[in-house]
Amino acid sequence: MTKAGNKLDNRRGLSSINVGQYSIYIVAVVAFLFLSFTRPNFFRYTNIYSLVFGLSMEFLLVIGITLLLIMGEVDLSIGSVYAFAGVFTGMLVYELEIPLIISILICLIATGAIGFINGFLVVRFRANSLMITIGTMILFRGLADVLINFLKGITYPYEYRAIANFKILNINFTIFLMFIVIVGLEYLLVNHASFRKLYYIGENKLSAKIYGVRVERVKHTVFIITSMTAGLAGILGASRSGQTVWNTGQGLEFKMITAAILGGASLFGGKGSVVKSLFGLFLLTIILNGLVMYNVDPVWTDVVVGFVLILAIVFDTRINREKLVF
Amino acid sequence: MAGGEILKIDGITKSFGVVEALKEVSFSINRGEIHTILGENGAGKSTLVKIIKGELKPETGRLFFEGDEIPVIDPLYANSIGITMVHQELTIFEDLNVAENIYPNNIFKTRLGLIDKRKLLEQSRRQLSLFHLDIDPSERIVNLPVAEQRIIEILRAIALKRKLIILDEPTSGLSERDVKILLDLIKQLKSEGITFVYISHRIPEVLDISDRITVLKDGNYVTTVDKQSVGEAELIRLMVGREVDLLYSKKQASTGTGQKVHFEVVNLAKENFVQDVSFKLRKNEILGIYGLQGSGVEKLSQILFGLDTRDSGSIRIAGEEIRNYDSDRMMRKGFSYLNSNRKQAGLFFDMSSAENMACPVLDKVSKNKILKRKKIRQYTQGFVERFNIVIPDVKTKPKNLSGGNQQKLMFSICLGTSPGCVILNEPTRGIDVGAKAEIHKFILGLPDDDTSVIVFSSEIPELMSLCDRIVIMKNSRIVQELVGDEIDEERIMTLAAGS
Repeated sequence: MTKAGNKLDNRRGLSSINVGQYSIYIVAVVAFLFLSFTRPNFFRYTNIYSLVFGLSMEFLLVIGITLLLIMGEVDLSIGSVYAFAGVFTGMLVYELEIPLIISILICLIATGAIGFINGFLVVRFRANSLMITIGTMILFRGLADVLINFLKGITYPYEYRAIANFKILNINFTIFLMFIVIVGLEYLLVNHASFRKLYYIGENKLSAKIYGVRVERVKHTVFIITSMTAGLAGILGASRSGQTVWNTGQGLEFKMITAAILGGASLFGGKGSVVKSLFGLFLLTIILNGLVMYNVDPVWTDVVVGFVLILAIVFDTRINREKLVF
Repeated sequence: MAGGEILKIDGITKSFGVVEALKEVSFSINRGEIHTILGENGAGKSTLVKIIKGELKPETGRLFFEGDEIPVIDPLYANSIGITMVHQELTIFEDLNVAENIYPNNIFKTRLGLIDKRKLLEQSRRQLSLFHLDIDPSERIVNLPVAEQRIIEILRAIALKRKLIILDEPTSGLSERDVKILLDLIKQLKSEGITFVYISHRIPEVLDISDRITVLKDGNYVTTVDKQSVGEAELIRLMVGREVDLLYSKKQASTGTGQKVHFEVVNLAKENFVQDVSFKLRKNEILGIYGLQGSGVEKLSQILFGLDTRDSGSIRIAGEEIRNYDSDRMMRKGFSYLNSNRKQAGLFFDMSSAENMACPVLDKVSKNKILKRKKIRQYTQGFVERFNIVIPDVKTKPKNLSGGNQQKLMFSICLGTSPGCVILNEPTRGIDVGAKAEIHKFILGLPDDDTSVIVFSSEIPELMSLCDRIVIMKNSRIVQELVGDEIDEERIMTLAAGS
């Protein structure tokens, strides 16, 4: 018995020295240091600040995607919802002159409804979330375009534009918001009874069901949360840009999936951390920023994001294929 | 053409982990006969068939086909020498018509290489009329009844010039009339020199159609008999008769009959699976439910725990009727469920054992919803000691444990909620004898902890050593309930498989 015990212990010992667990931090820091030393313009307060401010606009999107990936689901409509929410709120404020706060609430309810529909289709009809949300992705991209077409190229009212610029101690409040939300959510994901259920569902949803986890209900709820956070991000984004912009948030969904997978989330479910996803997003951001610093034409952006996503997914699949052999 | 060996099976052994599925099995199948392989669930029938088809590689042993040793284990090779199988699950091409299903490999071509549809239909019609089948070859196959779809599959095998056809439960789900049509077709094909290996546990049907019958039991070859020389009772005795060892001492009849009814099922039904099922479970009783594959037992256990829906019928827990129940509701009513296949569900292989244990009791091991690691560790450690789980540390993942310890861990997860009733499915599947005996001991101790038990098992001796009462299912219905001295292995098999 002790012999068997030792053998098992050794095996566990090997797997617990898991470099992969920290690789996103290492890679992000290495990339950061590389750019800091090679490009004098990179490590400047204004550049770093604008990178972090950009992150604080987008972090809400990566949260939703991470929560879904933990359960083995995905939502491709977040980029479209982002665009729709920004212009929809703008329309409510500009065209219908509804007070800003109420407009935002209406918009959040609307985006919540989108999440409800996504979740409903996935849960009730057992549809593949990838395919279903391609549908909603196209649908809401179309609606956003219709709204922009209707509004024409306008500049949003001052109060709407002011949200993203609201500062505390001369720092944009969204940056504080990002740190508080990410740290708080990470704590809950690790320690809270309800949030742990996401991991059980992702690891084996039938097992979770047998042990009393309401798989359908949890999934449905997270789809709603994902859409609402994408909506909130869209409002902040529109507030920052200050005007109607065609193709806002185009491709954001893929950028977020790439970031989450770089951060250790898996298309196979059961894994994911919002802190690491944020680092994944940070890594992507500085890579893109680095390209600019190296005078690479911005048209290469998508080429790079695509390349990184493929790389991340190949790694993810390889790791999990090993996992599936027992 | 008739006479002589077509397939010789020589010393085949195959194991899965600690379980030996086949042990040194040897026998021959003659050309032009219908040869049935008979045995209980888990006797090794399907493993043997998979080896013959080239899907599984045996550890030792050889196969000879028409006198020559089969050199490679490969399904395509087996096909090329003339071995094929008609599955329990149909393998029809749903979007094609009957003729295209009989000749899927497009042998009728025009000079341009296009399919000669006229010839295809004509040939199909001739083939169908040869067997007195009134089927239109241009009909889409999905529009045919299941029996005819199976017949088409057999005709396809003939068209592909197969010599040995394995039929796996070909009559399951068919009406009596269709069974007769199918069996007649098989007999006619036999008279034309086709050899059949027939898998079924419907004994009357087996006696009707077979020339010879080979019996397997617990992976061992028992005997091969001529149909003329045996009757139903004799076959059942061959299938189940075994030396009773210490592991399987029969349970002493308990005196729990006066106890209150804890759980009651009334007229439960689900189309094609469960019909008119009613039974009662008394407080602190161990009830066994037995049925062969396809009898509906598996579906019944899922319905009982709310993992699948029912069409009609009701369930009552402690007298209270439960409507609209799901697994979560059943858990809160004090039920828990041990899944039959731990690889499929029941464990989280890539999470720590402690996290596995915590899943159904998240509220119990947390304070204000915040999980207490120390509490989880202690809780898990308690079960590790109680069920003697060999584990280096509670952080060890189940994927690094042996089968027996995985099973004990799964058992612990289910008991963590202190259930009033636990539904156990195949509680000792795929584990070694030692772990099996331990788990049996734990199950027998459950009533002392105020837990009633429903055991679904495909091993009759296991049920006999655990249960106070055994309910037997056949063709979606309960056929009999046996209590105390009435419980007898041959009797159970007769009820489950007999006429």
